[in-house]
Amino acid sequence: MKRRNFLSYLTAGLLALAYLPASAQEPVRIGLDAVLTGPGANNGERIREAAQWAVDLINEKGGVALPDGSKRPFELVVVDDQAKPDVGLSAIRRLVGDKSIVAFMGPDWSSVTYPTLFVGAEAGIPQFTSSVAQRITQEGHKHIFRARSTDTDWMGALADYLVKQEGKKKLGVTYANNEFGRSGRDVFVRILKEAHGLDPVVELSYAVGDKDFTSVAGRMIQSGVDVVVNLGNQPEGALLVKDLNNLGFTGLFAFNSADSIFLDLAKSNAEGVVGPLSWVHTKPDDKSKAFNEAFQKRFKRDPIGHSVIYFDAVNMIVDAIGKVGPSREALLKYLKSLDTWAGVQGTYHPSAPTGDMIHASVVIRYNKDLVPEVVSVRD
Amino acid sequence: MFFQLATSGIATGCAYALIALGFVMIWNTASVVNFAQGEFVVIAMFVALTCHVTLGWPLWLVLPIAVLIPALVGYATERVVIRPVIGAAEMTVVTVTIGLQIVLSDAAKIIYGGQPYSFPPLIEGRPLSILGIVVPRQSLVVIASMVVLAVGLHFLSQKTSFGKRLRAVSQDRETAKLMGIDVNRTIAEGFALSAGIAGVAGVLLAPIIYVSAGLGLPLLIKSFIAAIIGGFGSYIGALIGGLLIGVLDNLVGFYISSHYREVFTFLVLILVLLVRPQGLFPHHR
Repeated sequence: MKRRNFLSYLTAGLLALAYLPASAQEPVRIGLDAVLTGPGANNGERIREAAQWAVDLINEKGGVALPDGSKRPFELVVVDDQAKPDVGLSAIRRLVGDKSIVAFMGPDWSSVTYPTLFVGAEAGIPQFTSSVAQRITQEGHKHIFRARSTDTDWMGALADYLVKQEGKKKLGVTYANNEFGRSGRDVFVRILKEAHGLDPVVELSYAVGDKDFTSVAGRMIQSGVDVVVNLGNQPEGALLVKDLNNLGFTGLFAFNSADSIFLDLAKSNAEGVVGPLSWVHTKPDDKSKAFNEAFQKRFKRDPIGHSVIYFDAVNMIVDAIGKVGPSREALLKYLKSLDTWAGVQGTYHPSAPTGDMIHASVVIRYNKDLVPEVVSVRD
Repeated sequence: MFFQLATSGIATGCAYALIALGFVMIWNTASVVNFAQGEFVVIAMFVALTCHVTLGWPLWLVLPIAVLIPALVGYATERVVIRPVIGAAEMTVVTVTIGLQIVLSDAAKIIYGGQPYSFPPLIEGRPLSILGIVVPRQSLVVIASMVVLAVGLHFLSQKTSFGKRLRAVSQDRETAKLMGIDVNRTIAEGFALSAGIAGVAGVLLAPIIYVSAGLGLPLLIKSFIAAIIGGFGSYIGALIGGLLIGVLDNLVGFYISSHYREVFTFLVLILVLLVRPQGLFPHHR
C-alpha cells in the first residue's frame, strides 16, 4: 500500500513538473561580446556591467515579458574578444552557435566587428554594436544595428561648435596615423570645407605610441592657429595637450576622444578641452538625468557613454521580445520594421536601411572642476 | 624653437641614457646583452604607481621602494635566469634575455592590463621660463637626477670597493677571481645596480610618458641604439648616445615629420656603424 502511494505521488510530481510553464527551466538568453582582458578591458568591463545591470533590472520585475503576457527569466551570456579579431571570431561563433541566444551585442572595437560581421549575418541574428567605423554599416548587412552616433555626426557637431559658436577660423589639425585618426581627419576636414568653407591652416600626423609631442605642439603654435583639433586616441591626446600647455598655447584644444579615459590621463590639462561624444552623464535631458541618478546609486560613480549604449540595447531587445517573442528571425524582422524607439541616449531608428540607428551627439567642454559641461546638443 | 626642442629632447634623452647606462654595466660585468632591461623600467613605474596612486603612500617613501624592487628583481634575475647560462653560446644568452623580456612584459599586461595610467608629477608647479625656453619642472628633475646619478656612479666606480670589484670583473674575470673577488656575487650585484638605475629612469619617466605595460620594448630599443652609438661598453658613450637620440627625435619631429623619427635614429646608427663601428666614445669604460 505504502509502495503504491509513493508511486502515485511520484507520478503526480513528474506530471506537475512536465506541465510547469517553460519559464521555470528555460531563460531567454542574449549575448554580449566585449573586451574583458588586455587593452581596452576597462571599457569592456563598463560595457558588461551596464548590460548586466539592465538584465538584472528586468529580472527584478519578474523577467522578460512575452507577447502572451507571461514572463521568463532573462540571462546575459558574456564572451571576451580581447580586442583581437581572431579571438573575437571564435567568441562570436560561440554566441551564435548557441541557439538559445536570440540576439547579441558587441563587439565594441571596429577592428573586431568588421571582420566578424559575416557570422551574425549568416545566422540571421540581430547584432547591436557600438563600433564607429563607417564601413560596418555600409556593406548591406541586414542584421547589424549600430547603437551609437558615428564620426560624421561627431565631426559635424564639433565643426559647428568651433566655427559657429566659438567663431574660430584658424584651425590646425593633428591626427594619429591609424585607421581611427585618419578616418577622423578625413571626415572633419571634409565637413569643415563643405559646411563652413574652411581649410585647416596646418595638418600634422603623428605615430601612435609617440611620447614626446614638443615638436608637434611647437609646429602648431608657430603656425598661429587658435584651435588645435586632435583626432586620435586618449594617451597621445593627453600628452599633446600637456605639451601645448607647457609651451604656452592659449587657444582651444578640441579632441574626438575627450572622454573619461582621457580625463584620467590629462588631469588638470583637460581644463577647457572641447570634444564630441555620443552621450555624457551631464547631458541635461530628463532621461539622462534619471539614468545618471540610478547608475550613481547602483555603482557609486558616473556612467560613461558605453554604459548608456548597452543599457539601451538590452532594453530595446526586451521590448522587441515583448512584441514578437524570443526568436532570432522574428526579432530581426520586427526591429527592421520599427521606425522609432526612445532610449536614454536619444531616439533610435532601428528601421534605418544601413543599421545606423542613432545620430545623437553632444559637444562637451571640461570646466575648471574638470566636469564635462554640455555646450552643444545634436539629436 | 630649436633650443626649445633641444631642451625637451635632453630631458627624454636623459632617460634613454640612464637605461643605456644599465645596459652597459651588465655588458661590462657579465658580458650579457640584457634585452629585459626596459622591463626593469616598467617594474619601477608600476611599483611607484601601485604604492603612490593606489595605496596613497608618500613620494619620499615610494621612490626608494620603486628603485629597490627592480634592483632586487635584477639580482634575482641574475641568480635564477642568467647565471646558469653564463658561458653558454651567445645566442643562448640572448634568447634567454629576450624570453625574460616577454615574460616580464606579459606579466605586467596580465596584472595591470594594456591601458596607460597617469602618474602625478614629482614636483608640482607651472613650467619655468629660462632665457625664453620653457622648461617643465619634471624635465629639470630628470636632467638633475641624471647628473647626480652620473657623478654618483663615477664615485662608486672609482672610490668604493664595490666599484673596484665591478671594474676588475669587467676587465678580466679570471684574474679577478684569482685576486679573491667573488665574481658571481659581483655580477649579481652589478645586475642589481643596473636594474636599480633602470628603476630610477622609470620613476623619472612615469609622470612624463604615463605608465603602461607595453613601454619596456620601445625604451629598450632606443637605449640599445644609444649604447651602440656611444660605443657599447662605454659609460660616457651611453650617456651621450642617449642625449643625442633624445634631441634628434625632437628636431626630426619638428623640422621633418614625427613619422621619420625612427628612420633618422636608425640612419644615425647605420652611419656610426659604417664610419666609426667602435662607437663615439669606445674607450671610456
